[in-house]
Amino acid sequence: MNMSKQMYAAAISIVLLLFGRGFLFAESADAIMARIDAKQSAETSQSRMIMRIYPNGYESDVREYHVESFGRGEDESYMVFVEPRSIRGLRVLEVGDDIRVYFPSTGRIRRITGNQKSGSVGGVGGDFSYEDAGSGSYCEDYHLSMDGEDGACWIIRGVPLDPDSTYSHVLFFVEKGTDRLVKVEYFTPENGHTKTLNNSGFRTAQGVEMPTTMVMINHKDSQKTIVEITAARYNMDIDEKYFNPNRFYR
Amino acid sequence: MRKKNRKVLTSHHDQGIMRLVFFYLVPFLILVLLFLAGAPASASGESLEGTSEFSEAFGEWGDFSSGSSGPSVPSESSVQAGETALYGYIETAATAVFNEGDEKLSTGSAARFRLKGEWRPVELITARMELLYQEQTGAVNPLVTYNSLGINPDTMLQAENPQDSFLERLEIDHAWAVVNLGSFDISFGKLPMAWGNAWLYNPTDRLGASVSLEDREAETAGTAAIVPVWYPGSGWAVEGTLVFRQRGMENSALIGSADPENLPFGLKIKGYAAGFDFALSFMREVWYTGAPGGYLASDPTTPAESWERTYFLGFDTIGSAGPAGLYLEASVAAPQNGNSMDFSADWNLAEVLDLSAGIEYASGPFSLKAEYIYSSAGEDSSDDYDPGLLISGRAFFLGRHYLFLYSSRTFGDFFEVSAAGIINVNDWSAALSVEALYPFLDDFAVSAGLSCPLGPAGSEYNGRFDLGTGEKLDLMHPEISLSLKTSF
Repeated sequence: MNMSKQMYAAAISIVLLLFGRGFLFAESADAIMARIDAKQSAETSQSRMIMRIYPNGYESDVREYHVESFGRGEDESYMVFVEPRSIRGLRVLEVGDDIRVYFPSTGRIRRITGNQKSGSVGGVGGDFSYEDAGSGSYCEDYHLSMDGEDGACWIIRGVPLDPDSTYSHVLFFVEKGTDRLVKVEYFTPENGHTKTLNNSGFRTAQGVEMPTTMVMINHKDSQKTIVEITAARYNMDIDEKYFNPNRFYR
Repeated sequence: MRKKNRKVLTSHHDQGIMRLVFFYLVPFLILVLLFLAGAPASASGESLEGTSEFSEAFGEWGDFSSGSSGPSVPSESSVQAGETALYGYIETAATAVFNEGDEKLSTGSAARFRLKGEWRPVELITARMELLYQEQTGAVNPLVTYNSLGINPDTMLQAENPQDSFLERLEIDHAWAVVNLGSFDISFGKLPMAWGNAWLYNPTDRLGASVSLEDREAETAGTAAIVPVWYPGSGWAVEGTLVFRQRGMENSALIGSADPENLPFGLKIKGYAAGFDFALSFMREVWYTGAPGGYLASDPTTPAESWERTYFLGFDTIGSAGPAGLYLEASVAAPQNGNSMDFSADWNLAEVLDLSAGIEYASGPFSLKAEYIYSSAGEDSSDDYDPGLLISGRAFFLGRHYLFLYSSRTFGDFFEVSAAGIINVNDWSAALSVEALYPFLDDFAVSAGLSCPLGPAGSEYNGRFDLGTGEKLDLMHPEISLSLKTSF
């Protein structure tokens, strides 16, 4: 009996050592992020957003951009800059990993390749890179694992599956109970924790839940960028040709 | 002229086939495709407002915060159906040129006002217009430049037409529309055409206005054309282009421009696969090479028109390999006898190939680009350089092999410093430039630049040429410039 108790205790210890995290966190990281993917999923989407860049972190010094954004599935997005006037008509098409930018002044297309994806969207500045702003699925874009808890949040570690990613890993903070992604911390191999994204103002429209205010803080230069979604709608008919790169060339 | 062309046609069977294909068969196919493409109602955008879920969406869709609306389906326009947008910019660029000889310094300025308009009367039609007013004075006025070079003297022209302005011009640079017909789009009007993905030199860009390399960052000039595009799906498209204006004729109205044989055209098949965009094209480039205005100045009653037609096969691809972007763009002229394709004619690839191949890399605030250029119009030896090709716009390079290098560094989000250089690998001369750009406000930017040609005597970028008539040309000078630009 005593022997049997010791064996039982040893077996429990081995299991805890091998699968301890699984026992500690009742839910897997994949399952949690899959729920977020499902809540944010839509066949098509259209949103209007205002991006405010605070170059020095001061509220008085701000650059403002108005963007119209379309999405189709998880791999296709199309953005048009409406303001400021200096870049009105600048368009960004993302299909899978391929990003193309149309410059209305020259009528030419530029491909955004490899490491250029770490640059700001449209080259307009700000802390959202093509990689941060890109469409996609957390479950398909990251290798996910549970990293811990922070009060009311699960902390999930995501390692980008894209070898060209700027980041070594990211930490997703998911609010327990609501399954809302309230914070993302970005880490690079060179500088460690470089950026933090805080999501708030969650709103559900046509069955799709999304944050309407996203604040990206760049720890390297104390700059911040705020994206506010002012309008959104989902599951309209948008023909695939609008996301056809060949149509983008004109 | 017409009689002559008819005679040539009957004596060249292949020309007859070409004419049949491109002037009868292509328009017929376009009409058939238009019919097959279906009614506009079949396109997706129309059903958008009628979806039951629309009312459940949030936000204001008719008033985009600042008063400017956005589109309701992706399109060429940044306005919604039924709306109009007017915007543009005002720019002044002051330039100081450092000359050789007695006139050490000359100055000039260019003031530009560009008004852009977008209309979208219905969801599937977009119209655009760009009005350009430009005043060029001093060293940046092309007539002043030409006169100082001793070429194309316009003294008489200006003396005989004192009522005309030779400093300023006002024109509709772009005026075009796109009609969206399901799997078929058609653009028409005076529209910008910019073929090719290479950064500096585009060998397949042979249909629109010929733009000097220095002006490549400015707006692409509009050219009268019809451009139908068919999207059959599966990642590829077929684009036709029929152009109604030839290169090199300036503003002259010429008899030869009415000849269908002198209409430039292009046909392009586009696709993308494995991370690369591809395009295969066939083009007819047409240049006017006759006397200005079509008549000899020495004998104003003698017609002096001449035209040059060249047929090209083009290839263009761009994509990425690991962290770097790669591109290749090339054109090859078909073997010709005079202005006609003739596959029995002598053909030497080195004499007909134009090519740009490049690599780009960016990391953080740094951006690097390198492009190799092969120019068929160029010469291997500087003794054979023909600066007339540069002056006429027929060529951008005098040599054969070039290397273009570009680097930029962004400080913070908005202050950008860039340096570029093009090196003639044949004579090892170079033109270097440095530019700094800072947008003080969202819609107000200041830039300053410095350019400097370098090279041994007789080299391209040394810029001094002996015309053999006792006259000398001096094409290249160091210069500095300051530009102020505000958008509205």
